[in-house]
Amino acid sequence: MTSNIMIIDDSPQDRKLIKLILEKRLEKICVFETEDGLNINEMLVSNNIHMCILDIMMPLKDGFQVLIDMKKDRQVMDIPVIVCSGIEDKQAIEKALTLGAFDYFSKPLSEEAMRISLPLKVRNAIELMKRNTEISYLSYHDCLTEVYNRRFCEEELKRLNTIRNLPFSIIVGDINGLKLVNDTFGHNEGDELLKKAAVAIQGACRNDDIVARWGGDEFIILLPKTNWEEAEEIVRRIKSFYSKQHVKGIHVSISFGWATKQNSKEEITKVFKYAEDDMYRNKTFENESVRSNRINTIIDTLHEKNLREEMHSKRVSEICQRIGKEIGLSEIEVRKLKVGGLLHDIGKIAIEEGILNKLGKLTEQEWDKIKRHPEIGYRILSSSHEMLELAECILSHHERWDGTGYPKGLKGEAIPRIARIIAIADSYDAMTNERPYRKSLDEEVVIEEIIRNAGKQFDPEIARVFIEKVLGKPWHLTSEGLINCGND
Amino acid sequence: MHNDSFDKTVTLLMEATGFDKQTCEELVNESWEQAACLITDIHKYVSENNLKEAGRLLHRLKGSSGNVRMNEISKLALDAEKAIHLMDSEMLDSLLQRMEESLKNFK
Repeated sequence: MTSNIMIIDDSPQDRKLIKLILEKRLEKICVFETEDGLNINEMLVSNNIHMCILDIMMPLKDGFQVLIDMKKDRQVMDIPVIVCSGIEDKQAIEKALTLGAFDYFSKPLSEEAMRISLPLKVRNAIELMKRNTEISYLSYHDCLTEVYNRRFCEEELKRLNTIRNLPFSIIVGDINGLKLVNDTFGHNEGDELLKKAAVAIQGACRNDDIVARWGGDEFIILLPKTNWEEAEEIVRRIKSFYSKQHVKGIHVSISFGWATKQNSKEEITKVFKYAEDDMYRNKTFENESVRSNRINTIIDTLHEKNLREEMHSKRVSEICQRIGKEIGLSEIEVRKLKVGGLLHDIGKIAIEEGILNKLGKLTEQEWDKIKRHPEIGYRILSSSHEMLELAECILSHHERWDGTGYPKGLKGEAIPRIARIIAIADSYDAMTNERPYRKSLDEEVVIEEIIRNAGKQFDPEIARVFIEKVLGKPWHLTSEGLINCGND
Repeated sequence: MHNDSFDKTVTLLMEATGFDKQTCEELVNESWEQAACLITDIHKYVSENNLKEAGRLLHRLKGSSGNVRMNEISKLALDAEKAIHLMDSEMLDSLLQRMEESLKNFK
């Protein structure tokens, strides 16, 4: 990154000499020059100056006045200034340092100054400025999304709360489904969602608008000189930008609320509260059906990626319903079984396709990842109140009757009945159909396996109903062969 | 050919800065030209009794000429600044005359 230096000196020869000295000793610098201190603050800002070399004795505006003016302006007050004055002028040096000069050097420049101290003092000043700029940036920006942070927003809210900024609008935005994305795909994907939201919000706002991340999934936009209708238009633009964003195929949304301060008597804190309340009202539109739709989107996305998973889920759903009917479950319970069968592997959305479709044997780490799918499925489904009970069943569909399953190691009837049914249907379908790593097994072999594992892996009563009533086969073993049920 | 004073100044500047000869010659030449202009302006301000502006230009001349190692001019400019502080117009005239002569003999 180039460092920008400004030399303010009325002598063109001195400016040229100093420029040559700096260019000889320092790399990646760009030297700007001006012969007086008029409009210097604007020049420092527009040229993104990192440090100044300032002559004291100048016509029109002397170096002391330049220093005083710089220290009054928050945009340039931190730029380090090295002053130069006559070697005998101790009072000028004292005054300049008192006014906040970073350092000084004397004219005529000594050999030591030209070869060593002047370039090094300039380099140190640049480094100080860059560090200060970085610290200042970090203290006022959100490090993830790079929009302003809450601290800056609070300060700006006070600063902008003036009559000349009326009407003053505030927009509050809250991302929907961030928890679901975090829980399903991990925090990296959740972070991506936040970054995309920040980009969409900034893209829809004007240069002078203040966009800040207020908290976890909440953004604030401060809009000086903006009426309610203009704020609404900005919200519309953000929604339009953001509607095109998705994470792992799942569309995401932001709920917004806004309010406008019309006159100086209104308290800005109340306006802020109105905007927040408005957002929460609008967020209720992100209701249960929307959350359910999101679940449907996730399962559709999983099935789009993997046709085998879709077919497997449909067959498991069908088998589950048949078992449910045979053991006399109510219509509602059978419906739960239908949905449970369809959604039992929804957590696999977060597992890499390479692992799901791997032809060879899974490594221990890969197997550990696969084993997370009941837990991820639980998190996805529990985001919807109406799916909460089913979420518990999905969490438990790899538990074993003898307590050696996962994730909780539940035993016997502590495992939800729907989960016990899904476990049998899932295993049967997995074994009777081809998998990337093995061919399908004969039904007789699979039946024997289920009988052999009844009371170990499977609920023995449900296993018997499945074999005898759903499949219409006798309940007895004909061989001693052992196979891997491999219902994943 | 430059006389000794110019060459000596260039050599001193090369030693002080580490710049090449051509750069130093250019710097000294420009400073010499600028010094001549400044002395003319200083004369003008002195004749108008504007000693504040005259003093400012002497200060600039002192610094700029000293930077490029035109030491004699720099020293005379320093003495002239002191003469202004002391309101010694006779001394000031004399020093300005010596500066002009020094500049004439420089090249």
